[in-house]
Amino acid sequence: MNAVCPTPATWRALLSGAVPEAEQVELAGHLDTCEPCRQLLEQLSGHGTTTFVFAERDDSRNESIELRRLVSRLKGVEGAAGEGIDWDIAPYLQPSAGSEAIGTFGGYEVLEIVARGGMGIVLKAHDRQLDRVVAVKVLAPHLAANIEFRERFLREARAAAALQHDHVVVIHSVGEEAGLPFIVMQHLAGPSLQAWLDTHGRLGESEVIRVGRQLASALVAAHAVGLIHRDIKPANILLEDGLARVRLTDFGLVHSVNQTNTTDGHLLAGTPQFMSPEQAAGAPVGVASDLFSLGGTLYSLAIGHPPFVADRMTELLAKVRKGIVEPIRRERSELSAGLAGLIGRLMSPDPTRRGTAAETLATFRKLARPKKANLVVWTTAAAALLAVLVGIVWPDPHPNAGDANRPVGFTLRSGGTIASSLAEAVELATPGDLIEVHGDGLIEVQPLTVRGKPLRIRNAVGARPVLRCVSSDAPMFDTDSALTLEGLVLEHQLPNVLAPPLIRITGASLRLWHCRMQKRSLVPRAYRQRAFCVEANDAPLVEIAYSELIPVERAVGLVLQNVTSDRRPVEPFAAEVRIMQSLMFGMETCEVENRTAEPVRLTIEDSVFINRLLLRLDDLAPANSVEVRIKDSVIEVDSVIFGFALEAQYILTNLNWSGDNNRYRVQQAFINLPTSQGRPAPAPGTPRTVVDWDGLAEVEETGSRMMPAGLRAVFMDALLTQEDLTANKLEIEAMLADMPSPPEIVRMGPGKPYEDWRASPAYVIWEAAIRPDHAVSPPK
Amino acid sequence: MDQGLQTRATLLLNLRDVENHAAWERFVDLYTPLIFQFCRKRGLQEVDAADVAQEVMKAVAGAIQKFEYEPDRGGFRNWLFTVTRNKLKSFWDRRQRQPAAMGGTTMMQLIQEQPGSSEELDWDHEYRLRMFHWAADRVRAEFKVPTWEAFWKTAVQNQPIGEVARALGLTEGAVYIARSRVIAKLRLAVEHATGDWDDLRVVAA
Repeated sequence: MNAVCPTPATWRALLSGAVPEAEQVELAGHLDTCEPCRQLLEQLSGHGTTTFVFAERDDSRNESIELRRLVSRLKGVEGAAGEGIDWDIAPYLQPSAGSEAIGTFGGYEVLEIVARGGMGIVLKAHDRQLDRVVAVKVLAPHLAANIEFRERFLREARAAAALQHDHVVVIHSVGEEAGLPFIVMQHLAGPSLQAWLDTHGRLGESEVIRVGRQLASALVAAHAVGLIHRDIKPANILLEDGLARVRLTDFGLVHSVNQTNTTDGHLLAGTPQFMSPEQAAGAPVGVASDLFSLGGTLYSLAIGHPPFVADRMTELLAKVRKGIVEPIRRERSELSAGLAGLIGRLMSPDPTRRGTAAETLATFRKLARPKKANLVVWTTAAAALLAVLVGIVWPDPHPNAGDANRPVGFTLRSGGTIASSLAEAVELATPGDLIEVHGDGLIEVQPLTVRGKPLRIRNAVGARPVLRCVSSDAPMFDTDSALTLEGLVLEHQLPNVLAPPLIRITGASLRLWHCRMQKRSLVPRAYRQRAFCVEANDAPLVEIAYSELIPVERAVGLVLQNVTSDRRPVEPFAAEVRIMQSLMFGMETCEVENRTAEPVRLTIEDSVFINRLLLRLDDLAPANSVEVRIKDSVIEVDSVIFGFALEAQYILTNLNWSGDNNRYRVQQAFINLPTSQGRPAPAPGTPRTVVDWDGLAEVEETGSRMMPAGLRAVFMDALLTQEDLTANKLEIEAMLADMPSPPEIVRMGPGKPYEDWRASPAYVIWEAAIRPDHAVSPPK
Repeated sequence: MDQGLQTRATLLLNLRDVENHAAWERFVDLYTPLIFQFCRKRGLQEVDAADVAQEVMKAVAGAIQKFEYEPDRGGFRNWLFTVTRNKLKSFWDRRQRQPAAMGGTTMMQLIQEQPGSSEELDWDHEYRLRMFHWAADRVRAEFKVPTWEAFWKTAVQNQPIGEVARALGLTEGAVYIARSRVIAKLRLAVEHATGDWDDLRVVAA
């Protein structure tokens, strides 16, 4: 019935991706009626041939831990090379002038080889410059050959180097020599606790308590900055002065290994004997895992052998995964109930029952001095904790951090309680509570999950905290309750492809006032997918005011399926995204997927966007599902609204746009329209100017203009650092100068304007307006 | 040897180079779950399936050091199947000599009663299913949601084209285009990653 069918070459071009979206519309039109061409296309694509079995995945099949272990084992030393343990450091050594040295490595005079393992070699060396003896841990070549692994190893080591504590082995530096990464650390002559156990047998109760207290204090400091050890065991605890003083070593290193290798006993990556059940099961581990391993270590110190013993590895793993140990007093009846109880609690199979490192430390102190009252012990613990945190030196000076090195801490309005970590503060907070963050500079935050607890978190007056989410696979906040953040810098380091959002909020409102969000990614742009700052699901309101999002990939992703009417901000809208007096550099400002019957409103005032695109709409939503009100703003984008040409028409029907007094610079087009039949893209009528844009039925613009030509465009791809931003500041100012009433963006981020505002009567009104009861009132 | 075959040969050669971790890791990712699931389906417990799969992969790794290629005379898939079946057989032989730990005898009979052709069909099915999901995980992000949905609903869930088109607000022609484009991309991904192992006959010297 079709007079002219496209040639097979055309169909092949389509399948190879060579046909632009616009022309696909035409081909689709032909296929609507031409059965022979349908068959031809199916045949050319290979549909119906036997290459694939198209069937849903049965996810239960891929969850096997045994399979996962096998895959990682095969990818490690065993499978690829079948070698790796038997390497020699000698070829990597340079000749040395020193008579005692066997050579130099990385500038250090190597005195002897102290230990060998699957992961690497430990050297005893002399640091000529500082004239001290150090230990140098060198990564084995077969592991160093894997770039990803090498970088992870160095990253972990650098993170651990930031931790300075009396009971942690000091890392002096981290480096790379001849392609082999190495860690230079404090050299301790004393044996490991494991070696001590092997020769002296089990420890007395008071010694167990002393060692436990020292290790717990190390964990308090580490966990406060988000460092998880992951491999606490007697072999990783070094003695400095007999049993009087111990130091924990190899912080986080097992983490870098476990992602590449097996956890079989022959690797330094560790015997599972001290692993928490969740770790043995291959699940993600948190700070609670360290507490379990601490418990297991103390258990073995008290009875002389590890808590889990089995002849075969598989048997051992099964035991560890169940996590059930013999009550310790069955093994050694004279132990005090206090110590036995504490070890039992630490080794609880349920991570939530193990308590925190700070609680553990407090209990140890109580055990050491049983006559003191509880209250006194807790106060002392808190004071010690603050002291520890003050002592930490941050290697990463932050542009937004204040000068004073004020102690980090968290207070709650409900009780004036001091918490040592944001996680603890959130846990102690009552619904509707206000958490104040004290201290300056970087505060590492473990991912927080909040359920049924509206919260408000702000900086204490004068404080410049920078909250950094330490997890690469979980949001900093994942909440189902209203959340208001004020005066904070929030950032996320993303070494991961599947980038999580900074904040995930479901079914409740989010307000960010005077905040700065930064999402630096370590992954090449092409591999990043949905790296939102805010992922809002059925959130009635997302409000960003007086804030900077610099640099971020995507600011707000809003998905609406079902917003209940009592939570709607303004009838008849299902939800609203409000951006006021804010600045954004990055890829996309807002992505909306609205599956409800009611429209979403996007309100933008007095803001500047230098982006790839301003708005991405889901093209499957019902008509008129998004209403945009945008005024007094600067928009520099590739295109204002994203959409493949194929879908542009659908998108336009979703949209109801009204703009006023805006300045646009659009590299491509406001939106790419589909071409009419037979014409090359772009289609005539594709809006490239404000006049074209205003000419579309769905759009109304008044008083808006294109930016004058001749100003250099800011390239987003290159814009990733604060320095870039400063360099581009003039550019922005030139744009603003063109506007009769330019956006006045002077109060962004924590700083003096914010403090002034907090001291003003207007703040009282704001406070009243944001009581986290989901009710919404305008911010002005 | 034409251009395509040269490319494939290079991929296998990459595997021989023990320094080439990336090629080995891709290989492990692709085939280990296949062998593991195949063993599980033959009644092995997880630990045992992992043991057998490990033996197979080690044998493959060892054989690769001595590979010779004779293109167009069979398939890598068949060769891998043979190795797997042999390793499984020796597993059952060992198990038979041991006291039955898990109703081994019954299971043994069950396995032996299965005709070889069905086993081979099962292997092929598992292989192709695995290929599909492996490729799908990699190309999915390259398509817009409605395009992917159009493919998934019609090709995987076997929903009628007309219905899917209506549900997605697309024309039927657009659904055909979406589906074909996705399938072509999936094939390309597999060809690119595996160098089309199917065409290779690999002989352990």
